[in-house]
Amino acid sequence: MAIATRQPNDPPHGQIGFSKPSVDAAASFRTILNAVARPGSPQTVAAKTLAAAPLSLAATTALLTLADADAPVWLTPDVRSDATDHLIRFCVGAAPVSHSGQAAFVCGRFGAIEALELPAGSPDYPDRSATLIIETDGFAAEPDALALKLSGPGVDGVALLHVAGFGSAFARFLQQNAAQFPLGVDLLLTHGDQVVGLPRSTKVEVG
Amino acid sequence: MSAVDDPTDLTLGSEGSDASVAEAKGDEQIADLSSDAGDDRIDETIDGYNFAYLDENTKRMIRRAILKAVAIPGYQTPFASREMPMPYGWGTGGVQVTAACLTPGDTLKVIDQGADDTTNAVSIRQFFEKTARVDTTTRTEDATVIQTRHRIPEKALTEDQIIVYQVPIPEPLRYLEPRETETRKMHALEEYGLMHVKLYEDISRHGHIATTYAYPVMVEDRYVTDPSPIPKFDNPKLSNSPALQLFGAGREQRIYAIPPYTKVKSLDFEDYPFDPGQWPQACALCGAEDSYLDEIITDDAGGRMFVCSDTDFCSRRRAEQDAAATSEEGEQ
Ligand SMILES: [Zn+2]
Repeated sequence: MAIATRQPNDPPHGQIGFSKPSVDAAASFRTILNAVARPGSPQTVAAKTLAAAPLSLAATTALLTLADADAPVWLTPDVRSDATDHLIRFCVGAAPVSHSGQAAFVCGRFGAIEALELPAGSPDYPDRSATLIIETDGFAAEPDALALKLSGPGVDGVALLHVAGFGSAFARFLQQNAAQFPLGVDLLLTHGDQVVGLPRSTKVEVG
Repeated sequence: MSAVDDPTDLTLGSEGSDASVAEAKGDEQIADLSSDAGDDRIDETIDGYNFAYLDENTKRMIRRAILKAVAIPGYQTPFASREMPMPYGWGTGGVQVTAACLTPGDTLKVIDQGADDTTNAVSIRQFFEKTARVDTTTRTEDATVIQTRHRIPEKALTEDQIIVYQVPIPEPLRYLEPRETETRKMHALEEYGLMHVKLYEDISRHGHIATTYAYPVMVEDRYVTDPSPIPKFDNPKLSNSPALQLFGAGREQRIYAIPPYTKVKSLDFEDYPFDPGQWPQACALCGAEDSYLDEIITDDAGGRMFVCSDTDFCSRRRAEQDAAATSEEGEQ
């Protein structure tokens, strides 16, 4: 992968962040937009930053592209580190919020997110809802991966998505989310340099 | 104030004919080529402007609104519209959505009522050539992003394209209910009965639904949505399109979306099904029988003819016909 490695003399976490904030964010946004417009199809983010470990490059890129002081981030405790603290405070420019209910972006592992109180919008303003950036173990069609059949806007017929690292609780979460439409949260699933969009409009069956 | 600092330098004035705009464009391209010599790197700032004109905070805010709009097809997502160096009537909503989506690798096409060469279309194209250094084209299939006022190109769009519509009035219920709080409630409760009553009044008055532009649609069986003032002829192209469709209203500060492969139904009644309309004649220039036609006046004596509104579609059909005729002559 074409991620720049840190040199011994670099300041800590110095290579987290876009070196060309304007054009790097533009390219990253298009990748994320494609992901959300075509649910279930993995998109590859270009390596424009060092990943803020333990977060993936894709999750780091999504936060750099979309979060700021007006759109705060809540990280689940298991993904907090000096690097993610640097990412949120210095690169994104947002103080981490103390409660998931105040966050525009909630980022971490599903196990730590599923029980959270998450803003799902209001009937008049369903857009005032959280976006979840959920780290996964990948999207390869392996036997123990959760297989999901997706349909709805952005999907031409039915799309098959494999998600490694999750069980049926994740599928139920997605189904309950979709059942609230037009309320609900929107998901970006991440692994390495890959991002998959699962907006609330996507209907999910276990395949 | 230097030219770079002066926002009026980018102002899209209405002065000057299309021809003078085109001339200026030619000069600028020559200047750009010379300044690019030996530097193929795309800079963060271009001639002193941030990439695609808007600052990063504004683009992030618009991008977040676009993602929510895509996630809730047909729903009008509010955004904080910025002053653009052009008047509202020039599609500032569409320009902001385009600015938030463009990358340096894009190829942009801009059309106004189907034409690539009106002052409005040329000016917006020049604006992005200047502020984002993107390539531009008039060929529909070569574009990755298409900004449009009031038309959808005749050539079918693809999965690799985004079409951005300029929207003057995003709320399809506005002329039934002026209060925003009330129309929000109507959308929340799917209270669309009034809309049907209005259309049915049309039928009882005119014998058919008289609405021919901005004909309201139902997106994915949930939100009644204004398709922007495209002719109803274009409505069938909204449904199940492989392309992502984004709508920007600058003055009204709304963004909405129709994702690819989304069901879009023009409102109608069982006994009065939606009719996109058709012409009794073909295009007087290219002979197309399946395109949207504009009536143009040809002389002072009231002569007129009907020609394709999509200038790219029409001129290329004629070029193909000319080439075919020439090769036939050559064979004889
Ligand atoms: Zn024609």
